[in-house]
Amino acid sequence: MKTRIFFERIKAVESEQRIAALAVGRFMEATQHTPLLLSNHGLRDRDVRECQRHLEGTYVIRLFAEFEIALRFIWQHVRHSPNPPRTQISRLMDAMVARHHVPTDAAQAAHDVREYRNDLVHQGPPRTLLTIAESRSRLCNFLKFMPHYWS
Amino acid sequence: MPSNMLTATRAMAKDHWLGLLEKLLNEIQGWTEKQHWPVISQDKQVTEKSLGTYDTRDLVIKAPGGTLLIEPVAHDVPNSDGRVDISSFPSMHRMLLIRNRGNWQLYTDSGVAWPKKWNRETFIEVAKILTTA
Repeated sequence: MKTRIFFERIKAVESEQRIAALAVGRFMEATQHTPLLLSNHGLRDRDVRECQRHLEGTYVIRLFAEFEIALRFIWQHVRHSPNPPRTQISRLMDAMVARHHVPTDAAQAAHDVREYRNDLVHQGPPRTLLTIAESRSRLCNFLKFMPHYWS
Repeated sequence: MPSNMLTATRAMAKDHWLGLLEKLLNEIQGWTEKQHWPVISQDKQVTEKSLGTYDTRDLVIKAPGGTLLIEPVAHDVPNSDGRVDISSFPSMHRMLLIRNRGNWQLYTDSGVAWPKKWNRETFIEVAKILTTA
């Protein structure tokens, strides 16, 4: 089994976000010419704008979910444990940092994405603003320090 | 801590780390040359919040079974005083050299301490294992 699979899954989420952003942009254009596209579904212009505004954050949440799946999977398999760990993700990240000698900067950068994800989920004012590309880069950089292979 | 003391402490830590790296890289380079394995240095820049940006180098070694990359990663690593990776190409198998209590200690990629001390014999053994795995 290879860690590379998780990089591919995380990258795929970023690609989906780009497709969704393009699609919403095109749809906004279309609704200016054909307002019925919205009103037929009980929607308004504002709904599409909100959708666009939240799109990147929504995908950051998914991106982090893939990262979390990866960490739990790697932890379980590297330790030959029958079940994935139920530990809080922040603690799991710290445990992985200690076990796999992840550089402090890389660990902090990934924790920043985790905090940003938490702010998005709980709709609190974000302490930091990260694009999806930055988030992907930080999470993949953390995963780079995980074992490349395991049985 | 006053900022000038902080700067001086950071500069000392950086010099110390760069000295350790250079000693390690020279040592590895010497061992590979004794084996008649071609080795080249590639300049590299590392940026860490604690030390700022510094120049170091990677070593690319042509061992009989394949290519090895010796790559300084970071000084600031929890529970240790630095990390250097040893990776093989194209298989991408990897081992970690971790600085612990004044010594380099080898770890497998999954975090298990290698049972032998870091020295020339261990390096040659690990180089062969990595490039033939």
